[in-house]
Amino acid sequence: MTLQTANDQSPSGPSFIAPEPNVRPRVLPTAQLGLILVGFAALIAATLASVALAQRNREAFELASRTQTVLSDTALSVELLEDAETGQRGFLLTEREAYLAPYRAAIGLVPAQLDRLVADTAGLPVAGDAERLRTAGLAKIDELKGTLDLYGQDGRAAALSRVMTNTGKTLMDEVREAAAAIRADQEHKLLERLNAAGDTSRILIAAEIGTAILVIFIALFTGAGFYRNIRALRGTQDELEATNANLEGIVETRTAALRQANDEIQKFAYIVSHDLRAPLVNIMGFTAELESAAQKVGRFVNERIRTSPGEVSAEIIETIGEDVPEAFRFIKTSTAKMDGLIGAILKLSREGRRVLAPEPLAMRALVENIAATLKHRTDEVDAEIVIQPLPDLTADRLAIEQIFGNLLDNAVKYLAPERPGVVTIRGHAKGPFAFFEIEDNGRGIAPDDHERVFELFRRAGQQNVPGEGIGLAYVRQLAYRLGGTITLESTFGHGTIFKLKLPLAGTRTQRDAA
Amino acid sequence: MEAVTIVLIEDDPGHARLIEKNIRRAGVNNAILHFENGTASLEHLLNNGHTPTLVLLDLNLPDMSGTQILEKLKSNNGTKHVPVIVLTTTDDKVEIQKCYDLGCNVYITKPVDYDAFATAIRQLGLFLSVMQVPDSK
Repeated sequence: MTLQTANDQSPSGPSFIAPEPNVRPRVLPTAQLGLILVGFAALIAATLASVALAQRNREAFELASRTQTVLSDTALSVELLEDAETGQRGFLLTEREAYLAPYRAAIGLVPAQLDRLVADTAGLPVAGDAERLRTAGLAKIDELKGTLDLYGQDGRAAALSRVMTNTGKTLMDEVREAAAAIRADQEHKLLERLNAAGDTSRILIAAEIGTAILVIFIALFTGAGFYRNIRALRGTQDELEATNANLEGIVETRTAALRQANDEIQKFAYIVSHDLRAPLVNIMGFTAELESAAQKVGRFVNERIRTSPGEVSAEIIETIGEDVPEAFRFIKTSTAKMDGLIGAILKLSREGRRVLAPEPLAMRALVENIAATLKHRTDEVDAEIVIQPLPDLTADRLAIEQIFGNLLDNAVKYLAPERPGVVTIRGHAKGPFAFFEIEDNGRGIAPDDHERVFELFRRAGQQNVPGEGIGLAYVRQLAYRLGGTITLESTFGHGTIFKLKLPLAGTRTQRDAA
Repeated sequence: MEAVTIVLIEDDPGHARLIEKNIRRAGVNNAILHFENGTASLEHLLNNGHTPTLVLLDLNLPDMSGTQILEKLKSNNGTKHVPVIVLTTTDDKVEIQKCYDLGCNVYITKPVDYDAFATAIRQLGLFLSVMQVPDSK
């Protein structure tokens, strides 16, 4: 018969673990995450493409503007030369100084302008034409100067005859021809480049529109994804709320089931304690009656021995004097032990029924109090109880006192006589739990007995210390009821560490197991 | 004054015998009527309400519980003044309170420690010898 088994069901079963919500809040689905990444990559590619296209566009415009410069410089060169020629012709025709003004204005500018044109066209296919234009242009200026000098020296007729040689006209034709060649080439190129720039711009615009569409698409898609997620989350939240609301109901149902199981255990314990005690009352009662009767017989026999010694046999004397008292002694110790065991069952079943009242506990003070109650024993065996810093708990005071009381009592009880005993209590908090260790350097527990010591009425090792074998069963039951666990580590002959894990704050189990 | 009859309701013959012996040893010589079940004892008590009576009641009986008997005695006009002493092997607080709530006068647990039990019964005997049992009308 093990009450332990029946009691184990309630704390270790899954009944009081809050039910897992069946829908977990969804994280971003992988597909959606992938899409966002693709979107970002596309965005980056589009941006890079835009930058590259803009660069190309800028280059195209630069080339176009260079062509423009070449064209305008060509036109200006021709214009200046024509101005100069117009001035010379007008003067020679009219012989008036005023007609020479365009010549004077243009003549100084021409060399620089021609140099500029050559510089503009450096490296271009039209560089040869520009050079031709410059040579012809410079020659033309020399020709103009020459005719005007001649006018000054030899008069108008000489100058006109020089003009008539057609040298100037030939040079001017050469200039126009070169200019036309440059213009033809450059105008064609300009058109080409402007077209190219236009194409690039269109591609750029298309790329930007494409990027914008992509961004909008991704935004919409991920937005829809987020919306779905949020909706799913909201759904989960609603379910969670519903579950929470229902939790009370679940707790209620399970509490009722637990209460029923508990009631059955109580009933069982009652029946056991009553039904086993009833015959025991008879055994003890009639044993006492019998003993008093035996004592009467004994007194009678003793009287007879005193009055007529030969009449009573040695066998009778031995029976009355030794056998009968011995039998009574064994009957009495056995019934007393049985009564103790029944009492232990009753105590365990009662403890299972007691309503736990969690309260804040200063653990150091609590353990110090327990150590103080053991002081006479520790002094007697020259042992020491060392209390290291302990985390405080919110738990049922009596239960905690009984757990630590039993563990410390055991530690002191089973010290090794060959060395000074040291019992150390330490603890720390981690997450929602407090972890305590009660370590002794006592006799230790053999590996086979590590689980067994927690069983009801089981004791381990040398049986030279009085005990009923309920202490650790009781401790484990209490630890379970508080929502904790207890285990041990031990090296036989060297000592034992009891490891106790308890919730820092009162758990639901404590409230409901009432 | 008519002598008080002690009605002992106890299913365990051994217990009944031990109780009787100890009552006698305490010097109480009143008649003891022993019933081993609830039905017979109730039949007697409810029909013989005129005789001054004291009930020694065991809670655990084969046919009904002691508390049921207590309830019936206390709700019957003829027997509601009869003093009831409850004897039981458990010291369950809830059970004790229930008995007091139902109107039992004294509650005695039967300890396994025989000497203590004998002492309790003898004290009960002394108590019986000085107690004036009211007329049950």
